[in-house]
Amino acid sequence: MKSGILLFVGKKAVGGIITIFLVMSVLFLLVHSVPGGDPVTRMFPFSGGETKELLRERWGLNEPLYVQYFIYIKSVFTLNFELFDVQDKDVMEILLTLFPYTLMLFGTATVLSYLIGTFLGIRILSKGSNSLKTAVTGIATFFYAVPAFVLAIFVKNWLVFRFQIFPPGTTSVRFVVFYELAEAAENIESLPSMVPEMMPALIVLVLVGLARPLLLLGDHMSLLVNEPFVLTARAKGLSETAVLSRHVARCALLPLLNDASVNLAYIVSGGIIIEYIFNWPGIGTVLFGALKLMYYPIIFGSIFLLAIILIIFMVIADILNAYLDPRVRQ
Amino acid sequence: MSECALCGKKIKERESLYCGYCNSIFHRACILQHFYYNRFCPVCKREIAWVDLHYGEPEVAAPEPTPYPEMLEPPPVQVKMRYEILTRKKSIKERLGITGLKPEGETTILRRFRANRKGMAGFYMLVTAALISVLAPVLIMHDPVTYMVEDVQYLDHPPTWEFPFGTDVMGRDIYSQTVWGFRAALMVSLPSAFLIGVIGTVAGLTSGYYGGTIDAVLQRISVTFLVWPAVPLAILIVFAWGGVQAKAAIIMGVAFSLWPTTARAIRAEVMSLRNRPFIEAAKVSGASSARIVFRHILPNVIHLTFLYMTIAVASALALEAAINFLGLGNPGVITWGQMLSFTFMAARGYVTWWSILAPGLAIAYTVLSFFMISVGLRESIDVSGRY
Repeated sequence: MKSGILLFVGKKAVGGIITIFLVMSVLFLLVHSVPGGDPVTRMFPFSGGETKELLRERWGLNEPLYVQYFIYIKSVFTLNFELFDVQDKDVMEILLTLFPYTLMLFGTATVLSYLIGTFLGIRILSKGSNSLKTAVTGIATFFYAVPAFVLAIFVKNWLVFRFQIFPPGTTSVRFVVFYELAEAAENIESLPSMVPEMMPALIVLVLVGLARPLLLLGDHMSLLVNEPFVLTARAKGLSETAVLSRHVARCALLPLLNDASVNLAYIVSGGIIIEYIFNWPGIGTVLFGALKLMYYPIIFGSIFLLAIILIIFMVIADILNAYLDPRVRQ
Repeated sequence: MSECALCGKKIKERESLYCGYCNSIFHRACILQHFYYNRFCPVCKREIAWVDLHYGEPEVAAPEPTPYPEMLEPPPVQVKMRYEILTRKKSIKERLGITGLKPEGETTILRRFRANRKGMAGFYMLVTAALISVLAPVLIMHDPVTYMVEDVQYLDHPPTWEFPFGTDVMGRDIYSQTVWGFRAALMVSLPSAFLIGVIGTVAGLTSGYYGGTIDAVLQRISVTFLVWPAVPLAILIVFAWGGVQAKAAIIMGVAFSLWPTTARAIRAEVMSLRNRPFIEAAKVSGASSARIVFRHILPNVIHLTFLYMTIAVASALALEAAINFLGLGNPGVITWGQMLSFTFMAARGYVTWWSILAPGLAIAYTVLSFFMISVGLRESIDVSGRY
């Protein structure tokens, strides 16, 4: 039993590593199909020929493509995204400074949206009045349908600028030139003091991530309410709350976990653009800034970290799923 | 050794069926041929079902056929030649007259969809959007791309009769831009939804049917694209293809980042279908894999493709707007995302309400129409609510 779970976890971990490898390979393909010369000319247009040649030597840009690929993969798996040999801070270090902020935003948003979604699903969709049910479902559908960034623009406009309930983003890591980013990363305040700044982004992410668990849970609960085991629980004399929360909700939560990996991808890929809009000093903001300039090391590093976050979340969801539902383990 | 009541010839061993009510004996082929058109016993004229016909010969000999009392003129018995059975191109179910076991066809789904209020509301919303995009040249009041007000007081002006949704910071009419934006939105989201449907269905069918190594490889690839953040993926494809082909690049980017969801759903459905008896039967009768996949499995999952395509079209629209919001689209083409981006980047602070309300609501309207169609489809495909 125990070894079975260990085997499952091992399988998932190996799968995650392969997935990272594939993600980075796709990134290599994409980056190489972008026209406009080699990265050295693009990133250091005004440096001398000798420096350029040195950089090309270092990144293997004079070698054939497959050698470049090997160098790239090696640097990915050794977490070595630096540009020069001598640097007081390399890219991975800066990104890891920003990593907790991203993790805090996404983690809080995921946990909160699942908690609130589950709570609303159990309380309202199973025993609320019909009009309330319709209203909640309708609002959830609306927030699910509206793109996250449109919602973010409205929230930022009203809550931040117009009524000034939340402070605007103070730290700007958006326009990355490498040394500026390094300075900005040093000057970021500590996590707890950033909480009021995080709130509008959190509100948007929770509203967006809330709908899927809520709607799914509502569907499954309304199906399960007519099952015989619920009748048995009611006949035993259990209160309606106990029947719903202990018997029905437990069964209805399993498909929610099954769905978690897709929903997580939805939250993260919607989340990075929200980070950008709210100037949250996270990986998404830096990634978009770097994409505008095609600043390669930051693109590599942030895609790598985002993929890692998602894969870890997914593996945790899978393991929880396997722990609760033995059918999945085979 | 007895004679067939229909054709009058001798009946060999194991070739006979007899009516459970009047014990009259028939050739199997003859009574089957008769049952193709009629639902009564040809001798006693009683309404019988297929289960009332028994194999072999009755223990009691057939009594004299008694005419059916209520019927003054018995319906003419249609006797066909036996070889016609072999030449008719009908399925075996149709020959046996088994209609109750027929799987639900698409007509049933369509009928239920038409009765579904949400789905039809979404459908009419979509039809309206399509009409607006077709009639856009008639509906606009000013040129959406080149027109700018000359009077300075009309820059960033709230709604008036001349500018129903106000003007933006450059003095362009927001109403005309919003109407024009329907074209770009539908032209990007519909092809990408088609691509998503095709890639997702083919991948899902392949990995679900073959299983094993192929399944593992395809699963890994689909997880890869699921993990890839959608917006950067689309951005890099747009970069690689250039600004002139931004629309095609956006379509490709959206399709690549959104197909895994479809593929996963179809794979799960195919895996549950793969072990059903009718697939076993097709395998035993020597059908090739391609035939099994395309003739037997595909019709049973194609409704899922449509469902996930409508969900994907909503996400595609959102993603397209997001890419345009980041300023990666073609600046000569008016889209809602670009309008939002323009306002937001120009102001860098508090934005006037009219400049974001119209494009925001337009995006919400179109996405919601596709989403409601998908909800309606889901409810009409599966009454139990499973998806």
